Amino acid sequence: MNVLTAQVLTPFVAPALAWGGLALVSVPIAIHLLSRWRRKPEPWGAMRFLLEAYRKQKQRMRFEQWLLLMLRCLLIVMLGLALARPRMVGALGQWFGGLDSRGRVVHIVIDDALSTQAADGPDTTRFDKLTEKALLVVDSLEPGDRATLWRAGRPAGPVVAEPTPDRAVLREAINNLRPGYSRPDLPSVLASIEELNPGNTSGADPSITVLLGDFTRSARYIEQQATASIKDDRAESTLVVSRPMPGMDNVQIQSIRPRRRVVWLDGLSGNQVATEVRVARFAEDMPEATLNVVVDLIDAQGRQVSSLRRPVYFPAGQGVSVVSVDLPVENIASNFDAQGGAVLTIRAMLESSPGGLVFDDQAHAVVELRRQLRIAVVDEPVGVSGASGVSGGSVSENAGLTPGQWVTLALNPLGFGPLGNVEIKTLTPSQLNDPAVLDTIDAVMLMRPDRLMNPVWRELNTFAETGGLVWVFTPATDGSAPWVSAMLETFKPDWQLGLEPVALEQVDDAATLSWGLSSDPLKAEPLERLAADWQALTQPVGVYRRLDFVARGSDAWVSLNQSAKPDADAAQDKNPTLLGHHPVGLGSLVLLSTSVDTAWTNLPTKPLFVPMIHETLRGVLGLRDRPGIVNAVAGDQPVLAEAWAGLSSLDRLTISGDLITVDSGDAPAGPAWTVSRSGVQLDGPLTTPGLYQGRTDQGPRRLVVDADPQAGDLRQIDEEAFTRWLDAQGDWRWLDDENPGASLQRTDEAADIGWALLWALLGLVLIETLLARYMSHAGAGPGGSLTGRLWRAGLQLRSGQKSSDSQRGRAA
Amino acid sequence: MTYTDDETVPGRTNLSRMFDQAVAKLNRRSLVVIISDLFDELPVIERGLAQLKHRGHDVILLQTLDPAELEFPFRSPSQFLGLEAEGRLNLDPQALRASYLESLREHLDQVEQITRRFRFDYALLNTDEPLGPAMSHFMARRSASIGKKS
Repeated sequence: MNVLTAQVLTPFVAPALAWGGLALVSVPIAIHLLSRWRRKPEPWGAMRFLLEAYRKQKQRMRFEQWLLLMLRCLLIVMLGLALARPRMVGALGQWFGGLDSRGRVVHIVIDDALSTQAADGPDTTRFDKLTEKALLVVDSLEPGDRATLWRAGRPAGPVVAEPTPDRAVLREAINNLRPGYSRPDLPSVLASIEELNPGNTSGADPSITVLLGDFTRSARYIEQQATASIKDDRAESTLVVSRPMPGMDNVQIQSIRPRRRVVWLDGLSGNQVATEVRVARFAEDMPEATLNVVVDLIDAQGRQVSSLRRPVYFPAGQGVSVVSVDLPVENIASNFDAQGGAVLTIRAMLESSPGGLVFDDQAHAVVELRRQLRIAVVDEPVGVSGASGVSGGSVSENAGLTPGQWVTLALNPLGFGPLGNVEIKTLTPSQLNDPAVLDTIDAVMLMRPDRLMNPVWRELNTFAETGGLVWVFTPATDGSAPWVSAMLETFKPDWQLGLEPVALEQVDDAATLSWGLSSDPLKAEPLERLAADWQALTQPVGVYRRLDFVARGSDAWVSLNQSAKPDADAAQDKNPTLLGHHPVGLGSLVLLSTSVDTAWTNLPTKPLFVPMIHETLRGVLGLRDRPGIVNAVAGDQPVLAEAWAGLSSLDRLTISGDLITVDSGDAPAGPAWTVSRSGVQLDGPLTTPGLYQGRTDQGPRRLVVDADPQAGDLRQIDEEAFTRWLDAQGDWRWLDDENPGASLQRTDEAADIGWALLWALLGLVLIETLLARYMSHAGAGPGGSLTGRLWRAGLQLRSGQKSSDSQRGRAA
Repeated sequence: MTYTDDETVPGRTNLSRMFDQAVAKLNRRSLVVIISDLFDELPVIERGLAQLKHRGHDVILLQTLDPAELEFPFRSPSQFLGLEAEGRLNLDPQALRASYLESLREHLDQVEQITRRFRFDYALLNTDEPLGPAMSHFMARRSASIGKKS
């Protein structure tokens, strides 16, 4: 079979019928031959006239006989072929297919992820190549076809959602597309396309999805398996996929992570902004290398507060390196607002761009600086006894200090004024009945939670949800503690917390047993600055009485040993928790399960107490994103918190020299937004990386958008894995990269020409009937066509009549 | 007196010999009645009738044919077997009917023309019809003619 034949004919739907048709060609030939052999002799007198007529008509009769025989053979062959439903390809198949032409829905998916911004020749990017192919695909649409346009960069979605036959609309939409900074997300595109075509039944228009991408390793979805339902639904549709582009090396600053979102300039932290810069390199071969990163701290006006250049060292084979930078903060007094806060921007940039992309060589972060930490210590005044009369405001059995005084002393250990600009307010529990007192407070330290009414617990919950810290200290009371129930009911933490204190029994007068602090590595992020000294700090601490408290996982910041000393080092599961945490909205709830009372623990008298108080306060308050600061990745569509209410403008800023200005370049502005009670809902995703400033009624807000940290991997995809992923999607084939339009032509689609052949067969039957009647000289009777003969034969069989020919007209 | 061209069915029609024998044996003017299909060459028929005319004989020519020969009603492909050793012929009769009837009609017309040219009586009969009426018709006409002359 030559190439042309192979291109034209593809297998039959029912090949047996085709072979049957060919075999049945012998039937008319056999009838023809039998009719010659089995004729009855007719004695004939007027033979001379018959011979004379025969001589005249001999040539014509032979021609007519052969013509009819061939026509009848052709009828049988065509009947067999038509019933076998041949499928034809090529131009002929296209023409025949036109008899049953249903318009196709072509979904064009363009990958506009970060990796497509890589250069692909002089003054050309990969994205340019993809849009070029997309335009060729649009040009190759056939009459009746409709198309949609989708972008695959996260958040993937439709550009032209409604299938349209209008090529101009599609071309314009393609030309208006710009590459983004996110990672590709083809699975969600394919799922959305499936949703668009719910009725993929045999009667629906066939669907073709054209995937145009560079398919680098940033497409991590190849490791995901398609669900069975997607594969089944895709039975009527075909994927046409462009071939993966060659791999490239790239280096990307993946993130800047300030250790704390809020930094207090109180001298304790050395007036430094501690920052981690994460740099990743993507290459097939990763030799030992050192790159330089420049980290700048920039104030609200764009002035450089500090700038440090740090080497980033990559050992051989290592792809990610994290460098820590402590950026000094000096001379920024003019930046603070009336509330004592200031917002600074951290920018990290690669000194040189060794990779394939330059758009991911910098990242931003924003930190809030505070000059003053405002804390309320809630305790009964000295002399007021607790409910059970153990200590409360009593100092007689607590080294002369109430719990509130212990904490106040820890906050101001030097005793000559607030340390590190900590402003302490001492409140009584009853003063918390006025919610307004919380408006100017960052943290509430509750020494007497047992004195709070339920409405106050609810106010504290609201306070925490808006970013405040509620730190509950167990009061030194005996018996049941109903406040525990009120707290658990209000905050609903995932804690195990008993209602009554547990205590160790006194063994003898010489030694007092106690629970020691667990020496396990410190897991609490806010306390990580104490990690180096943790063993030494925890060693002398003992706890004698406590609530039965277990916080889960990483929320158990400081744990106790399960057993009392001397078996204190035995590591066991579910160690009791001394200091536990529960996130509440933008803020936190923290519980110390023992009382700041020397009868319960020696903690207040040990070196751990002061740093634990300070680090917990600063760490918790700096742990969560600030409501006025948003860090996002390109493609995110965050809900901006209540602090953004009253947003009047959202501008992308350009840091240039000593100025931050509103970007007036070609980069698209941020999306529109809708203000709601809970904050601001952006109408679209944030696509362009950079620093954004929002203007609100309450002052400026900052928003940082970085390139997707997963999007910079330009290494060539594992084609085998990619092929497996495509196999899991259903029917697919590669796009002809040289001629993308050809991939959509119906040349590869075999057209079922069975119906066309049946129509042709009908025409041939008509021609055979007419020819047979003409050649048999119709005046002589009801025609001699094959169909006429069959009809007569049937009549004769039914009536049992014998041919009357033999009874008539024997020659004289 | 009765003459036949051949006593046996197998064999070829030989009108020439029949005419020769008749002319030789008829010594005085006679009425000659010829009953035949006349499936022979036209010159033979013309020469025979001319001889009879020359000798002063009167002739009544009754050409009798089988109805099938006149209508050729066959439809099924058949094998025609010549009765006068013409051999066999396989054919589709419907395809040849028109041409056959045309040849036969031409022959019959020419026989009639030849007969009329010698002023003999001629009738084409099929074998299903009795000869009597035709003979009576011609005989009556002759009687009437003799009566007028006398």
